[in-house]
Amino acid sequence: MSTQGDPMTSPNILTIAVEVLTVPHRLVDRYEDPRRAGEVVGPLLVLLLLGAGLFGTVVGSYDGGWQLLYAGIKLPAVLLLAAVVSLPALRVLHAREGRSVTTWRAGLAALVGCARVALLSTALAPVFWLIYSLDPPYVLSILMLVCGLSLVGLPGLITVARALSPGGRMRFGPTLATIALLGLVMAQSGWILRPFVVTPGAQLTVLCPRNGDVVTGLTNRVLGRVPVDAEGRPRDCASREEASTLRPPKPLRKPQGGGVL
Amino acid sequence: MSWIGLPSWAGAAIVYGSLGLTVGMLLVRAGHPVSTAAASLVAWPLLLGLLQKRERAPAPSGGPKASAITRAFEALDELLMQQRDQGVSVAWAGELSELRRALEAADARIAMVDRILDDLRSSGPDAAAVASDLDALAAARERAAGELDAVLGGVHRLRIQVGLLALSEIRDEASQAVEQRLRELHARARAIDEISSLSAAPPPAQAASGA
Repeated sequence: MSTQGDPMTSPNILTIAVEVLTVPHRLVDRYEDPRRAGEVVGPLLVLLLLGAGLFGTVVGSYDGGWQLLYAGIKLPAVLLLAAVVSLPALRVLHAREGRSVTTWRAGLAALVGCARVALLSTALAPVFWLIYSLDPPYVLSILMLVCGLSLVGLPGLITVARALSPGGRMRFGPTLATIALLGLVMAQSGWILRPFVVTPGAQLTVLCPRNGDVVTGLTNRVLGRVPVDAEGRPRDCASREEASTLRPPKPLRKPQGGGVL
Repeated sequence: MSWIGLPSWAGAAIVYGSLGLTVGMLLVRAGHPVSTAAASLVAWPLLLGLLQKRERAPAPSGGPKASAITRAFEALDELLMQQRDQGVSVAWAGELSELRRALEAADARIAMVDRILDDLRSSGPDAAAVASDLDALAAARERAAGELDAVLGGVHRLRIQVGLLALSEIRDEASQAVEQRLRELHARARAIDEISSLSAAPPPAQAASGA
């Protein structure tokens, strides 16, 4: 399959998927002209929604039920939210010598980067499906999710940094700043839109109230400290006041027979 | 949104979707396909650039070189689109619009100077009193026009260089050379301003005595 696409016909979604994985910055170069946006926006968005949605569904399978749907919707939303929030700052980072990145090029770079993360996460989905079906402990599940998302996220962040640099030539400072900024925003967006892996015994919630940051939250969970309600049951989400009622380590394991498809 | 019984996330989703719908309708009006408009329901903040680009149509400067500038950049634009189709990286292409704006601004200033010269020269006895100033202004105008012609010539040479990009075996180097040329043209376009201002300014001694 050609990775350059046929100039005489509109590219199909498979051609675009191959280019997203192999030469993403060239894809941004080729469709920089807004008059050709119609050929690429739809396929990129479909790749993003399907890829990240599939991975989210697999992550949701740790608990099963409605969480399959929630996580499947929330994971693409995390990618889009992070891109939207960071984009103005990224444009400033990559402007040089008075020359700025156009709004459309920045948006396209973000779309391509998100689609790349989504496609790579699709490749991880079978691995996570297998591991989660083995009923791992809660803390291990969370750590694996963080590692998995970091693994597939990094190439996406580099893609955005490279696509925003004219000619695809990366400069050290802006690239590092892009990876740091977009990575942090993506992690915090994931924290805001959680839960993905539901705390065993906790009641299912769609979204958590904003309390604390991703680093503190993850550290607490890894140490087994989770917020509990008045009756001592674990909760995924808590208000800022309730979050102070952290409990010492407990055996956080899924109840047998639940949560696996 | 709790005041109408909706959870906050549902309210946020409705507001986001409504904005997406609005952007989608604007995209359709701007001539984009329905698929792009549908995508804006989900990812409208990333597609706002499409609206911005459509709204900013280049306006002719109305100066003596307006048609030459339009022709040169339209030909270059067409060539760039063909190069993109062939997978040639032309990421610096966005900077051409800045160069075009700079040249059109310089052309518009020349047109303004032409009008001033015409007015003053046709004003009879008053023209003699400001003859030396008129000559200085005319000379500055000629220098700016000459520099504008030189930059336009550079744009034509840039077109040839871009045409060679597709044939070049070392595209990265060729692309860097084009980018370098573009940077030089930018610098020359900026210099037109400086030439005009230096030429039009009174000599230091005269300026001091005037003060």
